[in-house]
Amino acid sequence: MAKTAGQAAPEAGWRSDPDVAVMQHVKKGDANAFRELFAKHADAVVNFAYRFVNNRHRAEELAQDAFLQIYRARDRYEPKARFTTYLYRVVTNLCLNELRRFDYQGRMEPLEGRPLADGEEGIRELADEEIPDAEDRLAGVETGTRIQKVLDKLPPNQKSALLLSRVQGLSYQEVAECLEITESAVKSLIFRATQTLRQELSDLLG
Amino acid sequence: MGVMKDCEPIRVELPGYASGKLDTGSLASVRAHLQSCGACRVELRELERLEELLLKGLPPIVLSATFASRFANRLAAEVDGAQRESDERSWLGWLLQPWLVPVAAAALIAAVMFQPWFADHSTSVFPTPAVTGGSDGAVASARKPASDAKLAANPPSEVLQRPELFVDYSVIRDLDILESGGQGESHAG
Repeated sequence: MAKTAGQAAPEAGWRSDPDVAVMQHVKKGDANAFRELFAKHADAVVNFAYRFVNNRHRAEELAQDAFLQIYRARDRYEPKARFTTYLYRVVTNLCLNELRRFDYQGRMEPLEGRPLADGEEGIRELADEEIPDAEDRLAGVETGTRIQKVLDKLPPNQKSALLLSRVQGLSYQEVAECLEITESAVKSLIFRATQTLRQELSDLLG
Repeated sequence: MGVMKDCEPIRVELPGYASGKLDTGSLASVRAHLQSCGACRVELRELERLEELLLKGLPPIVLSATFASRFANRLAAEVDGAQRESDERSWLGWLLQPWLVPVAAAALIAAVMFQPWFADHSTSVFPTPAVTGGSDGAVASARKPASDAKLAANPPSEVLQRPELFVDYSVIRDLDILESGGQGESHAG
């Protein structure tokens, strides 16, 4: 899992967050500064959305929607947290709305072997040192599919907390700010999510 | 190794401990508990394996080749739209400037006050074509030269009474013709 965000305490970190400074330029109308933020974070945002909705095309659309939403609201931007906290709050809300709007059960994409649409590229293969041969590679893909299935079964708030913490690498306090809940509530959500994962994947953990 | 009652608050912290997310305060209490609790140590090992599994099982995806260009197009449209909106706002802002309101009001009042004067002098302002022999009058004459010559010499009484109302008073002749079912034409002709 990609760990993209820093682990610094948010209240101490946001004032020195370079992205906050860039966002201030965006607020003044600098579209190029916004392109810079997009280039820096788009990859991680798409990956987060993909784990959320398990659909590449929708994940990319959601990521673009999130950036455009931030661009449209640039006049009202007031830095109160790291930029990533603000960004993932927007993305998480869009993903949660997407889950409410559509039933994604049974619409999972296979992790590999799916015919790709125009210009689409395949899932990045696991590094050779992680999975040395074809059999292990296939096992890795199956494991990924199983993990994704369990993630899709989790209640949205547990899924949000787990993905923000483990996939995006946000600290518990940042996750709390994103989801607008307390840090204790974040710990509780992640505890319950990991309990479900442990139960469902027990044969892989033994 | 059963789960003890004092394990419960620690168990909630264990996933954070396994992933290195705990703050120093929580970290110390979990460490202290783990030294004396075998059940929690077993659970921690399982959680650490789960962390590894998540790390390997959820590799990052590669963005589609058109992703960046699609966003660039959407952002360009957004920037253009914002620019247009800003232009419109500035134009409207100019139009609604405070100084323009009394000026417009004064112009309106002047127009209302001087309306009778304009009415009285409308013949000089908008001269009738036949009388002045302007270009419009020439066109009218080309259409009906004989009757218009008579008309110019002997305008209808309505025109004489309110000349400002009739820029092209040959219309009255046409209306008269229509009213009389075409007899006026032959009479006039």
